[in-house]
Amino acid sequence: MTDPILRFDDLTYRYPRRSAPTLAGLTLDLPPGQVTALLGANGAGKSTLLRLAYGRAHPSSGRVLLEGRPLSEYPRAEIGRRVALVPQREYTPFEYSLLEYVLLGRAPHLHPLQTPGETDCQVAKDALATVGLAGMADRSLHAISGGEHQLVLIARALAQQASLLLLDEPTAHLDLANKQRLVNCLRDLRARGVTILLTSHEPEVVSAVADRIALMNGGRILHTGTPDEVWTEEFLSATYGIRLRVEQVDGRRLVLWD
Amino acid sequence: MTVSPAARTALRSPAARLWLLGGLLVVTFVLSLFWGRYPQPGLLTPAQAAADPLAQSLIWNLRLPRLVAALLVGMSLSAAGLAFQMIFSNPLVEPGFLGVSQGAAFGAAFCIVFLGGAAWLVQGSAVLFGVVGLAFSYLLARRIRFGGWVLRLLLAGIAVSAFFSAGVGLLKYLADPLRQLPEITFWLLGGLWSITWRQVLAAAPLFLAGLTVLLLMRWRLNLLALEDDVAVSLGIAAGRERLVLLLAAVTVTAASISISGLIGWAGLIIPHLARRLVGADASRTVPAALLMGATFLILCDDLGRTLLAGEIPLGILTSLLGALVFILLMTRPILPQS
Repeated sequence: MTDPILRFDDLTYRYPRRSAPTLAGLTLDLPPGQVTALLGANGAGKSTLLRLAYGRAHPSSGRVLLEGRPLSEYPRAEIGRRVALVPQREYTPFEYSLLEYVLLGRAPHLHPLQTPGETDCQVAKDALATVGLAGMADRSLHAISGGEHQLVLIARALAQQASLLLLDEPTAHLDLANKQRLVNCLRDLRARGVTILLTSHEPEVVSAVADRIALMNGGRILHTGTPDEVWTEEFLSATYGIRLRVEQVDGRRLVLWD
Repeated sequence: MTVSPAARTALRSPAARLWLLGGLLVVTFVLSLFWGRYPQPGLLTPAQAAADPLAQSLIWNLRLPRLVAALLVGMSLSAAGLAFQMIFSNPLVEPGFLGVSQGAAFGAAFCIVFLGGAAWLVQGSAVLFGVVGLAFSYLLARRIRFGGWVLRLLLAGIAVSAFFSAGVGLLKYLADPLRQLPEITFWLLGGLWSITWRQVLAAAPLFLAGLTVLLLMRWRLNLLALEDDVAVSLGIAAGRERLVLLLAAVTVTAASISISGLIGWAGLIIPHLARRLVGADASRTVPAALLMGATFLILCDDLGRTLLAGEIPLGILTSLLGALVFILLMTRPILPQS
């Protein structure tokens, strides 16, 4: 098997002034070209893990290895060229055009005194096209739907030309049509060989895009495997701490609670 | 206003609008040199100026330094206001809000009431207390126990400003109503009536250093307007870059206050107008704000020194005209974006 792009190696993370560690001996590999979905209850440490994955926070013990090298050894901009974050939601009071906003993804490729040039514009336009917003480059960020906004954030991450994409609950707050649009976009990215780590609370989204699922509980990985291996009543009930049933409908899995 | 369709299309490009703003500033600047109340209210013709040594001296020694000061102060307040609005991701802040303006006002009033009103002393005390206000805000923000860094700075700035404005109120109450109170009031309203080349040249390095940083790092302001988590994920050293840009903005604000007193509204309104004209991207709004701010302040100062036989404080005109232009531009789509 090829080397992982990112490896979380026996991580512990403790927030200041909190007694229980948020992550306690967590180990997880992200193989290249695969979509890994992180599932777990609220407060299981998913968002914390994402913060560690791009060096926003540093582990109390253990290491995060990016392409085999400890993340702490990378300069900031170099991490930005390799790992891109798509936050759950984002608000800015300023009315950017979509192209201007996606161009912000070029930041790690630019010197602090530089402004984006022709090449950067082309990369940003391509990114918009990839997420299916090609004709909307001049539209205002405040005049698009929630689903389109999420796609813009993905386009900005693509403009970073990173090899690893981190998505924090990409389909939260989206209606069904937009959810489908987003899932299609993620499948498209997987087909292009982008490595993805996403957190989600939505079984139908996860089963539609993930190659691997990591179940998280109490700051640890409970189980990792293909959707078929992990998607069982036993594992899911242990992850969320309530009794859950898994049903098959038309070859797709449904998770039901009592 | 009738504009031909071709001109209308050309005016939609932000780049064309920047050139237009630049042209407007040059024209305003040159006309203002010849505009005044000597020998009679109105425009001095170049022929008249050439024949009159007193007019030449007036232009070189009084009007030119004053115009340069108005240009620098206008550029500074507008660009600093824009930088503050973006760094705090809040379109309602202005350059003096981190305790700088109210601190400076307190410093000036304190000096007028207790130390006599020597001009250089008032200016020095204003800058000193402006920086003290900023330092208080910063230290207080570090001690606030909740919220992100931006919210904490905002809250600290509000608290420190309130503290100093209470102090200014007290000083006004204590001041001699015949001698000191008018002086305090005039300073608080701002103006450039006593400006000299020496003052302009003394403050010029601060202006140039701060404005250069703001202009060169303008695109980064877009990144700092994002949440910290996102800004860091885009590979920038958010803390360090924010500090550099804040320092530049505070430097030019303090330099402005030191030569002109408190001039309200320009730093709040001009950035909004700039965004209306060229869009939100700071790589265009910063130059636009620089040009518009300079033009706006020069025009206000022109009116202030010529409308009446006496000086009208600049702050009154910036508020009055600023609010009028603001209302006009905010309520009607005069210049639609492409």
